[in-house]
Amino acid sequence: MIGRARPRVAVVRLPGMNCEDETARALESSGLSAVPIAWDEEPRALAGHDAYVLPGGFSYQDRVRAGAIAAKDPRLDVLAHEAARGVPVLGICNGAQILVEAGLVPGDARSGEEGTVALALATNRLERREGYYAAWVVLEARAGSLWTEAYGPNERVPLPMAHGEGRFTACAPGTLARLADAGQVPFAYVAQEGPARGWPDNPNGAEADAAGVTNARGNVLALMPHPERADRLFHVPEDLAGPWGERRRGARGDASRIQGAGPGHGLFLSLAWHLGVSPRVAVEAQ
Amino acid sequence: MSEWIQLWVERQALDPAASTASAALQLLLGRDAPVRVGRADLWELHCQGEGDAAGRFETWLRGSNLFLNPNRDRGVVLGTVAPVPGPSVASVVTIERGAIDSRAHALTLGHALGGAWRVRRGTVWTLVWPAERLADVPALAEKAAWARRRSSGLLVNAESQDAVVLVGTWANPALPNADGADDKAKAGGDGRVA
Repeated sequence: MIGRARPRVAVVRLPGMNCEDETARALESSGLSAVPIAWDEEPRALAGHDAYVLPGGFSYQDRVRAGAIAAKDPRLDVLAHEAARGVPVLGICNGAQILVEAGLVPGDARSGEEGTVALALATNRLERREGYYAAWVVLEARAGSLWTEAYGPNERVPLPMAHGEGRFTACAPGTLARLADAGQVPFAYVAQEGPARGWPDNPNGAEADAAGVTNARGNVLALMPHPERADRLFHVPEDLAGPWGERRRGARGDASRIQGAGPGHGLFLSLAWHLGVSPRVAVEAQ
Repeated sequence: MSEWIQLWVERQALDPAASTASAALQLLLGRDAPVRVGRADLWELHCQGEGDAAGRFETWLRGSNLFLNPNRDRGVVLGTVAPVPGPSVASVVTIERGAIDSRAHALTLGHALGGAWRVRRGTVWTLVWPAERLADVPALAEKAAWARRRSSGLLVNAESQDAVVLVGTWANPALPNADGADDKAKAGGDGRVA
């Protein structure tokens, strides 16, 4: 990377979003340059970036449906155009809801046509539990996606989730299972050991335990949990079960270790590697 | 004896969701957009019991804030006429597919009024066009309702919601799948019940 500028990643801010700062920090810590783009800038200011992130929050106050109003924003046409060129686009939580409502994820599986709404992120509902829920969940990072490159094969990744509408669903039965078979579910809810066994492993009732879904090409990811809130080890709660919890407890009182990478960092690192940031530069950026 | 009671709850002041939906529909549909958009919660209550359940419910409702905040909302127990009458008015009545009936509301009503209750909740979007677009209203309402593509429709995502589009008329019950049948099977695969 010496002599070459860091890849520029646009962090798209729409009214009501509230996770843009920590998302930008997570990108910067992976050797990427975060470029905030606000909703009142010209849509064409968006074009030409190396990647795009729609952060979490409550765009347009979740009016009509979460993500529905933002999905109609002209900026999404720019993102759709860039996505069609293969540029990576990441939507986290509310950003994921926007990508789904905008038809960028998963796109139309039959025609391959982008812009067709073929999924929904519906109200959390599982075993008579309904509505908003916030907790740490465990994801399986499945190999074969640009978004999971920096993780080990099927690595368990604990991340925080906080949403009321995060249940991936579709009208046609088996849609999410088919997407998973096609490699379009790079992140799935699991138990610390083995597959998800209902709630709370799968916190919202998502079909096929899907936590993150991509388009057919794999460059657009809609992910409900928040990797940016687990980018550093100090983000991890001390009482978390599993290896990340042990690592966190082991770093108690150690100022340098506790500033190290957290479980969410791998996703941003994967993006950085995909954009040509060398692992050495990415480590130095932390 | 059993009957369906419909409770219409809307904001007394401007509803921000309705005004935002109106602006988004203007952006999407241009001159085909409705000139007015309203939104209301629609509670449908099924009562199995003796006597005038609707009358007893209406009396009880005046002293309760279970279904609405009287400082913020206006609640009306509907009769047989459309809540917003007019020939060029369309109602998009939506409910999330597989939505769970509210047991808490049903139990409260059972304790307060007797009988066995079932309570469902959905949303009604009221879309008004000028009288000269009367002939176009059914098609325009469908266009505004179904969010099938990024560039069209807003109010209903058929992947997770069921809806009926009523033009110049009303129904009781209006929320789709009042019989609790399997939504997907009934919707014929695309989630639409119209």
